[in-house]
Amino acid sequence: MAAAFVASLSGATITSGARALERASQAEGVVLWGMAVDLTKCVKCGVCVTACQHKNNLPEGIFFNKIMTVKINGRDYTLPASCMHCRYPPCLYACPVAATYKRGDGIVDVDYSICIGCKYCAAACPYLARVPIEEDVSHPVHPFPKGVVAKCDFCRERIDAGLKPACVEACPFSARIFGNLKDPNSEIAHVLAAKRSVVVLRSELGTWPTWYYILG
Amino acid sequence: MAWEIKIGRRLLACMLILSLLSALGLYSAYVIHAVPGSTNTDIFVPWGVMPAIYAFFVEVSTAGLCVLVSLSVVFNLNRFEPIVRRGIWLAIVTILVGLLVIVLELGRPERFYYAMLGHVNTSSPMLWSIYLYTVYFIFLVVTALLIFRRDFALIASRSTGVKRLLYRLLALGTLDTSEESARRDLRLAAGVGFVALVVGLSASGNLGNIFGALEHRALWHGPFMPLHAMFSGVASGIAVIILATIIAHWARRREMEPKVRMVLLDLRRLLALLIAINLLLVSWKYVVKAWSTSPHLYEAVETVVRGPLSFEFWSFEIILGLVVPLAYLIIPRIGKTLPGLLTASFLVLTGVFAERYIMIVGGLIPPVLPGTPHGVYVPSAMESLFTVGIFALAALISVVGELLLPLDKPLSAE
Repeated sequence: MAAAFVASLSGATITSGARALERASQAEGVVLWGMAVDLTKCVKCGVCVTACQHKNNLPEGIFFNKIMTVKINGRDYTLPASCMHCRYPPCLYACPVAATYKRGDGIVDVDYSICIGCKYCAAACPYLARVPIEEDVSHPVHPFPKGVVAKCDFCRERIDAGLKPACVEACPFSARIFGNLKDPNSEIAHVLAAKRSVVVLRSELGTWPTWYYILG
Repeated sequence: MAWEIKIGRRLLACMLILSLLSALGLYSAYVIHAVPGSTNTDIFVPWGVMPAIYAFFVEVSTAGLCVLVSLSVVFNLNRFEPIVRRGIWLAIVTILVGLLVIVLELGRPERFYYAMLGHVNTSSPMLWSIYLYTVYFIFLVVTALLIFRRDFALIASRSTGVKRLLYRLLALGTLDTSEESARRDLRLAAGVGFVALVVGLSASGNLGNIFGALEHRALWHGPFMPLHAMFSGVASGIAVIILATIIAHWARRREMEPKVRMVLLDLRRLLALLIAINLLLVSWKYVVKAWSTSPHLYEAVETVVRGPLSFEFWSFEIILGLVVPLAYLIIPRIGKTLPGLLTASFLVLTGVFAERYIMIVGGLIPPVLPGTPHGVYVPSAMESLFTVGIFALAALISVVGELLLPLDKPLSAE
């Protein structure tokens, strides 16, 4: 059921986890951070959303990591989603001043001291991941000034310190698996390799997200 | 002096009202930046009415007025000479207002020049927009200075002190008012104006490219966007020059010269032709997608044609903006009269503005992830006030130009 629903949602063909890993391994570099959300474990409790908001000190109503409501055949479903950290990110191509950039480890990040707030990235992102910020957000590591268009950065300062993103840490059911897709010994590589049906959202656009949904 | 500044009581009242509305518009821009949540845009619909105003104004300048001015200045079609001065002044006003709107729309307006500082991403259509508008603006202003140079030189030679200095600067430094210098100015203007035309049309099409380049926005994607932006831009430019010429003559209670009337009648035919072209472009743009084999294209068309924007689409864009003015223009008893022309032009502008709004908001409303809910957008109170204020500001600056510049003088004569 879940498989059919996500497939119809994403318009994507379901591949095996091994195929997904093989595709990811074509990227340059030794590190490629990726996320897998196991929809068979996710109970949509929303703890990841709260953890993200708390960690990024986001104002009320502003979400980087959100749970979307999807109506299919009259039934409501929920889908946790954030920035897909695409290998070919439309928001990066759209950004006129190159404030959006890609780190060597695959994280799509924004230099908030350059962002002019044109919101073209928000129009260009097929995953609703770019969030216009309307008030100053204080944060010890990366404060957002008012007016920029912010996004999930996989908690880069936590990753750089050897930790996992806040949403992954917070998930009570270990439905989120985060790690280096290029390292065959990483947890995410092990989990994905064992799964038969894995999907990325709107794969027909050729954005190559590093964010996978495990269907089974 | 060849012209005098006379401000009657009625004009003064008019300008006061326009100033008040402009001030309110700029105040609303301040509120939009100071108070979170004063616009109705969100992550689903990040662009609202402000980019639509921007698109409207820059297209009037880059596609419409720029082409009309170049007919005479660049291509020597002398019958269009009477609209050159007013046309190029309004082209400057509309590009300035359009760029002001988009700068105010930025989340961080004070960073608008960052693309000039080496923060450059050549894969972004928007970067090219920034550069094209800058080059266009420079060449447009130089063309205008060349066209008005002799008039400025005349004033400078007849005045003293700061005024003399100022007008001498505007006259590009020389006080030469000979026939020979005027001919040289126009030759130069033809070259500079040609660059302005080419860059202007590129900027005009590139505005459509900003939207057309995004594959997942079903209503936008494809080469229709630049084409439609340009052709509706030309229509809006013609409408603006007709409107301004008629109003300027009425306000001065001045009889219209036969030469000017002839141009307006030529423009009537041109405008009718462009409305017809735009009708075709709009129809095919939607028909192709409505009959498309992929459901998300059909769904995108549905939001405009019979969804949340259908009222605006059918009443303002199609009926009032295209069908009625086309009928007015091709019926000689209406189209050949000044009130008829004025009404048709006003309706065309209404239609083009509706088109810009529906294009931008309508492209953003359909869900990007199939199955997620539609976006919802209606301009907020502050956004509506801003819209009114910006149109008032454009009108106000245009009127100031009518007072300060010899817009009705023929190009070549003394």
